[in-house]
Amino acid sequence: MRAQSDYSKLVLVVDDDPDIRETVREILEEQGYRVDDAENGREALGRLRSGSTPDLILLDLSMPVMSGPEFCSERQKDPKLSRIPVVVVTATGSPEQKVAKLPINGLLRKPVGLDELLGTVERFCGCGQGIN
Amino acid sequence: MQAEFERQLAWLTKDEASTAARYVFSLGVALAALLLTLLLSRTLDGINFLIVLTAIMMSSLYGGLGPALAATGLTVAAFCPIVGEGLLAGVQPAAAYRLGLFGLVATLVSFIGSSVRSARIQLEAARREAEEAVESLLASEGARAALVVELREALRSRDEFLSIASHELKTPLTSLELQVESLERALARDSSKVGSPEKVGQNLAVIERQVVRMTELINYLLDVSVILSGRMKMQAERVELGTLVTDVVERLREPLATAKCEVRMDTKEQAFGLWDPVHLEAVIMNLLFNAMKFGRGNPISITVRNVLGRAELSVRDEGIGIAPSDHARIFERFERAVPEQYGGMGVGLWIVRRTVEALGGSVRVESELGKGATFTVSLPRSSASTPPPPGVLGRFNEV
Repeated sequence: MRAQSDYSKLVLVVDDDPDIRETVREILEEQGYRVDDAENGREALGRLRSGSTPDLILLDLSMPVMSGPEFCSERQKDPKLSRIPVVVVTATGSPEQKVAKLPINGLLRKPVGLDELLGTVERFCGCGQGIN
Repeated sequence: MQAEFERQLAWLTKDEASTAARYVFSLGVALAALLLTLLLSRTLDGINFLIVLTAIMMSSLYGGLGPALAATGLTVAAFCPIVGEGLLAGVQPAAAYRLGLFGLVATLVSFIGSSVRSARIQLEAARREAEEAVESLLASEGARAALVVELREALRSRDEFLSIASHELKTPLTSLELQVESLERALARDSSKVGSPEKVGQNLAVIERQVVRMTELINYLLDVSVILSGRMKMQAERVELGTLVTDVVERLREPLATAKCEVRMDTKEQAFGLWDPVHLEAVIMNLLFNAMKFGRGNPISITVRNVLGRAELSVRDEGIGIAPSDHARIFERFERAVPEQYGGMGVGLWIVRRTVEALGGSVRVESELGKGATFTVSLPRSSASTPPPPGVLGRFNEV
């Protein structure tokens, strides 16, 4: 359980590619965010259910074991989890179709630019240092 | 009934009707007419004139010119004795005139009738040609439609391949872009504080890894293209299969460790052969990549042995397995038998099959869903005499 003094925003990065997880973690931590990561939908659910409540989830779509869309439908079953904003980050050709029916809050296309990534995270989390 | 009768006679207008048949018919008809006139009267008066003329017309319509003229000659000759007691007895001028007129008209009718006959024959031939043309047109339409279906399917699987390839390339590009931009930004802010050399070294390592991944991917694409164009060249060398496998496994040590796939090798037997080592390595790598992807976290067993004068290599994983109904399909280009979230372009096994075939060998799979998979490659001792595989030309399916 997190201490009350932890005011930094927490971002959960869900992607099966370890280099993407590592790179995004570095970039976000540099901006003052805390970062958790998972390599597929099932691991991500595990994190969420074990008490971690991120301020934003960055979600890849195609992952083995449990894909992005599958994660979304599982998440919907829990009202507490379904409140957490989700931004899909995907390399799929026509992501609009794939995400049309998903309850998500934003869409980023890979390869995503630094500004775009940070801008999106800021939009949902405020700036990395959290509220004073 | 009239049509039936007509149809029977129409046989005489076909090629099959021999000359003899036509003559027999014509003369027969003429004789029948003559007999009829004998019953009625014996002179060439009105009715008889018409009866015999009708016979001549039928002869020409069905028998043709020659038979009709023969029939004409027969009837003229027949009437001569009937007209007056034969030429010797002296011919009465009126009767002679009537006979002459008859002969003239009959000849004319013969010509006209045989022209009609020729026209009918030609018409029939033209009709048959038209029928054949329509049939062949329909057949080629059918073939064309089938070809269009095949083409569409080939295009569809190529489109799917390109879309998957693009997806696979964008993944390493993502980290690459972020890392580069990050470094640029740090440099722009303060070039002296871009980070410790160690940190920068780590960043560059990530960048390098992405470049390597993309290079491998692009090489995959090139392999596909080379195989398709039939340009795959083999340079045979003396190779020991077990040694080759050990080399490849060593090279893949890191990815194998990341995938948590422990490799168990059974290379007690030595299998020597004359093969192209580079292409054979690619085959082993492809099989191992598949085993790592679909059997992640589980051990991989590799066996090398000699079977009936051939060398056999088996790669077994304990992964998600393949349904028997998909066993043949997975070796086809752009075919995948796994859920979409497992990346991959569906060409690995196709490359394995084509390369193994170019080495003169074969590949097979034993597997069931949920029970892992065993891929076995069987190679002849020497692939030196195998001709290169055909390319795109000549086999539409490979387009």
